[in-house]
Amino acid sequence: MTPNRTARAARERAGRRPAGSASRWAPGLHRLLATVLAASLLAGGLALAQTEITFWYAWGGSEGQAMQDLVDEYNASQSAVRVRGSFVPIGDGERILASLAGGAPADLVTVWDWMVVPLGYGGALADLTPDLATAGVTADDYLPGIWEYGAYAGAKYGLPTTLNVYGFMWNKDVFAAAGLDPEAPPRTIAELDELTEKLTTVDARGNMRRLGFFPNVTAIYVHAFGGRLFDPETLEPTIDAPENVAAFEWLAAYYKKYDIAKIRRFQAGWGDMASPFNPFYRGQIAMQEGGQWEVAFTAEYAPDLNWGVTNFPAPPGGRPDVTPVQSSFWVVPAQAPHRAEALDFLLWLTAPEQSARFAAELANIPPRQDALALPAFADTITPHMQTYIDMLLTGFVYTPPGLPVGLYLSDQLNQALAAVQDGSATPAEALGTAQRNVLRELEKYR
Amino acid sequence: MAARRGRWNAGIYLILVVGALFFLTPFAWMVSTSLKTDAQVFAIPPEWVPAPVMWSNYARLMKEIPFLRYLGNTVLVTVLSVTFYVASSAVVAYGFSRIRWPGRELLFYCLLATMVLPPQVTLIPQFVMFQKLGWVGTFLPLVVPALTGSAFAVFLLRQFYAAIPNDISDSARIDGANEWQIFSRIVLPLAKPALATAALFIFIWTWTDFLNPLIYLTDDRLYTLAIGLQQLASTRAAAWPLLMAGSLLMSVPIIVLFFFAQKTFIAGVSTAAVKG
Repeated sequence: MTPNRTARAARERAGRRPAGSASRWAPGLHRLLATVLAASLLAGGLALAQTEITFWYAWGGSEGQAMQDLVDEYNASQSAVRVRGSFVPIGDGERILASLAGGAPADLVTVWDWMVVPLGYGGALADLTPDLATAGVTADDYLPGIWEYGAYAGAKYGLPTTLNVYGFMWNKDVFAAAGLDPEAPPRTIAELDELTEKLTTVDARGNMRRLGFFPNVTAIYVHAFGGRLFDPETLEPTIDAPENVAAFEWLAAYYKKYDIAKIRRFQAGWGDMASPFNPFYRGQIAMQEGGQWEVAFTAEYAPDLNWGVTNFPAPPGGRPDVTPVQSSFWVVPAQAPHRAEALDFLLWLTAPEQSARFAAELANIPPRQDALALPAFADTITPHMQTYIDMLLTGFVYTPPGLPVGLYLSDQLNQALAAVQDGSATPAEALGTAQRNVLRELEKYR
Repeated sequence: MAARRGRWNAGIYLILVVGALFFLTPFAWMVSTSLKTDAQVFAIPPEWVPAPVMWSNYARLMKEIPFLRYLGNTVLVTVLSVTFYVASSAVVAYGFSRIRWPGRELLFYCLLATMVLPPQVTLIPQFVMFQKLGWVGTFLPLVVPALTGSAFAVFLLRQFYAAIPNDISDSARIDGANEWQIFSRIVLPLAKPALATAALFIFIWTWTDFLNPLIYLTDDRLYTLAIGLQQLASTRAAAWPLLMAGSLLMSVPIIVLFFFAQKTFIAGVSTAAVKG
């Protein structure tokens, strides 16, 4: 039977139905129709009243799922706003830059820390200062040294997601095998030099077998020697400060003594950091700079590794408690279509409870003071993690330079280091050049 | 003499086999890793044979990310891009090689100059343009530009067309054929190897393109595989077996296509290169 015939047959059957039966059904049918109508109006009204905001997060895998769970929870908690979360890799910021330039950004975006101040100061991001003040969120709600992170000249352009904290790690088994006290990491630069020498081994052919230590993140030593890359009060770069030159002189002496070319050859054979081939786990390097993510990495890839973590060594008169911190950021673009709703969601997302849960999932440290004690995070703290937290709470916390030329400054510091490594400039010359270049670049923003 | 030639051939084959093995190793490792357990991925010493063989990784992949949806998106974008690029480039290349008109060479060099520009340079102006058209968040910015031809494909096809003797076109003209008829009935059928080569190159670029989908697709339901597979990596570690399973499935169409089209592919490249 064709559809048309079926319909006709149905109409004919309906036409033969006794008149009374239709009227008997009518009140029920009316009620049903009225209910359906009311429900649709309500749903339609809700849909109309509900604002959809877009949120780009940069985590994949289980971390992405944890973030999506939080988004779903927020959506279920209220009916005014619906957050549509999408996984958008940050990369070099291509997507965010293109969307900002095109005037079509998402409402809430995840970016690297070095993007925050340049984008914010350039007018592309909303200054959250007044909104945070209205919401009653203050510096005291955040861990020491974190509130200023992502801020510049009185404006706060974003909130950190979760923190990565660096510490000085040493392999206790390698120490013991070399006849050293496994519980005595170096506390001064002199002790570090001595231990590096004792722990570095070379085979009969002159090839490196084990490296005692390799200073990788230059800024750590600049701060450990008592220096700074810029003055937080005047916001002027201080790259060629005497303490920084002293740190570079120590680095230069290290590279000269251990032959940087030989070290590079040795490092070329090192495995992936997130794998059992991590050189620190295999004893190819005895001491290293490493963040709290190592707590999760070692549990997964080197569960039997016997390691310790402490503050970075410093010279006399330097800073013995330097704690480098890094984070990605959540920012609200200045042209975000739904700024108020995005801020409401951001405040919920960065509240202690959510902060604790997400940091625990990432094996990072929540930036919120109150989040540390919440069971969602506190229950995951291992002794190593506790050391990282203590360093963060009591140490001299420094974050990457939050200047409009922050990335350029880091590049200049790397170039200065390269010049010192290849012997083409003395530390004072190389840092002097970097200082002049950064000042010149900064002029463009004044 | 024959023995010497035999030894020579054996030597060549040996080098080819060693070379092939060298290039096959990462692929074989990808296949092997896609069937391993998470623990076996980083076993020391490295293990080539998965034990147990985790076929379930492929099922897990489908559950972890909407693989089939991403595959469908990728196929749609690729098929449309390849069709549009090849069709438009074939016409444009004809104009640049078989018809004489004032300013032809200058315009051709301008077209070639666009190949020198890195895509990052034009990224933002293009985005602004598509934004104003209201196309961001759809497949249109990925597909519609293909209708204006690809500089590379135009160059490749122009070189190929130039090698076809003009006498053929002239005799068709005497028989009363117009330019479109000469193009569609004579030149195009002769240019099949070059068209296939252009199609293959464009297929590979579009299939594996990461940047453009990343920039233009704002809704993750529209993501292509290149972006979708990224979701398997977290900051702590990537789900290597799943990532390798996904990468393998993503590579299969390229491998299959190459096996079927390799003769045409090589013929197209060498003809365009030698005769051009």
